[in-house]
Amino acid sequence: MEVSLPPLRELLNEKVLIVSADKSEIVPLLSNLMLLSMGAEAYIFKARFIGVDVIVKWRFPKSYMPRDLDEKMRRSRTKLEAKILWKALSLGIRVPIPLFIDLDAGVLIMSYIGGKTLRDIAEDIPETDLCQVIKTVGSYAATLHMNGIAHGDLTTSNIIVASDGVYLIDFGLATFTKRSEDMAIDVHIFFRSIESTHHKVEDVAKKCFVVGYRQVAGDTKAETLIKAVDSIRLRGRYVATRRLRTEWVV
Amino acid sequence: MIVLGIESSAHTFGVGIVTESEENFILADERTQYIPERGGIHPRESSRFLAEKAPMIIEKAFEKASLRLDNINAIAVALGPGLGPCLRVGATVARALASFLKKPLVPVNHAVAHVEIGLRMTNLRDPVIVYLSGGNTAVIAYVEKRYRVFGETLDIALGNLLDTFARETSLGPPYVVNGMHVVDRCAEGGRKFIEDFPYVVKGQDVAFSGLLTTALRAYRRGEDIHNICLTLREIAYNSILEVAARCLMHTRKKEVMLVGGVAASPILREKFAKMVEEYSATLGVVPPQYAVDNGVMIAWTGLLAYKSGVTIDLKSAFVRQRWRIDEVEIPWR
Repeated sequence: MEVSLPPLRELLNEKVLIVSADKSEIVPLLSNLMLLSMGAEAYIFKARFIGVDVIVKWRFPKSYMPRDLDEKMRRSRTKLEAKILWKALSLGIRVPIPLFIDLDAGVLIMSYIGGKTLRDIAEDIPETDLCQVIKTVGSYAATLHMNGIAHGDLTTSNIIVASDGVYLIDFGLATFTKRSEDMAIDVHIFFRSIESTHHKVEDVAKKCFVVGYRQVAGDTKAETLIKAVDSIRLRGRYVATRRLRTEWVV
Repeated sequence: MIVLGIESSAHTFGVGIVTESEENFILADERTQYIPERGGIHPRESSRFLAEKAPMIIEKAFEKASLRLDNINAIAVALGPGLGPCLRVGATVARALASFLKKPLVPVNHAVAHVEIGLRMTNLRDPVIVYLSGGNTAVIAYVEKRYRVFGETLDIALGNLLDTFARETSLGPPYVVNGMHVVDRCAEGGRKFIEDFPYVVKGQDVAFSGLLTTALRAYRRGEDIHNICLTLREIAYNSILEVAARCLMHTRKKEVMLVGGVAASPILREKFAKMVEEYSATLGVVPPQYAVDNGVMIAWTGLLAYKSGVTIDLKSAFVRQRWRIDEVEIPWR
């Protein structure tokens, strides 16, 4: 479906002059805007941006939030997301390349990645391939964590398997952090997304993730992380195994 | 079929009697609530209160329904989750009644009961359920025979956050005055947002303890209480809205149901109404009377369960303080 929303309309009207050795041409800055999905905090469009396929992420104003708080949050999240994408790129992780940002409008434009989400293919591909993909995800997670970044929403919907490798997307909830707690939450979220949607491949997926993580982070760090993940799981409401704590055990 | 339900998981002793009929399915709805003079609910004190009131409430319920004891077909009881000493009062009464009357005993999960009575009252079919109360904060969706927890609080519950803040800053108790929480009321005077209050959404989960600490610290620092209330409330409510919106998108459901004691907040309801509009979904809010703890919800869920053949042997009808909603098979859906 063709859309043009207020903050994007201006961008749609802009033109750029491209001068190359043999010719010069005028192309629209942004064109062919197509709505892909609407998330909890943003609209995701596919578009052309000066001749390349891109994803446009527009954090729309939330009618249920007070305006200044909403603006502040959209602004800071957009900015942080772009920063973290750059940092991740510089660490050699495959992520979308941020190309353009407009903080006032809450717009972030980044390169388009063609491929399928792990969520869609996890149960269809051979187990060895799945393991390889998830190992890569584990090593990415470890690399991010060693460099003080937590992804914040590491689910199978946010992992894209493309022809040239495995990509991590949607850094909308990512943060710069030094707390091992935040790292463990990443893994907890990943494990839970596996448990809730890919029950059949749960064991192999978890095992391969840890293998990949260990390759980058080393044995000690990986062990500590797994312990922290277990302790987070016990924190949900009314977890049965936690009962032990309230009993007198000698 | 007539089922009696007993609720005693925290501060309310409630007895409900329901039938299958389409209209006026509630034959009796009697309850009494333990209100501490100060501070929060002390489990022992509350259970003592509940034990004292139990016989009277049961008698009143039968009177109201104009039924004799042996007119009922089954006895349902909330065996968890909740405060152990309090749950045991209801469980003891239920076991005694069941054994005396030789009627089957039906175990009911308190959280499932909140959801089921909500569905009955709002006529929603398959909503994203936002369960907010003093002890619970969870976004729940029905998937394959269970109510599954999509996101929940990793530390304290929303009601707990609001009540504790009110208590520490002498805004309450009572926490709810004329249907509005004292923190909501105090926030009305707020003019500006205070910087650096933590907004914690981790994937699909929320966490409030850091927010509480920050708010109390700001209070002790001498910030304007109205501004603190406003910032606290907006951040707490909006993090839940964000998780609920995410669940809506993820499950592709088209309805949202608000249930639990905190769901009565008009401010929260208004926010949810705006949110569902953005996603072209519909909102159902469980009427306050049935959003808080009550016996009717236990009786109604007990009736559904009993019809599906769920009963429990008296000898194994122990209370389960930590009985998660996603541990319960739902054979009637």
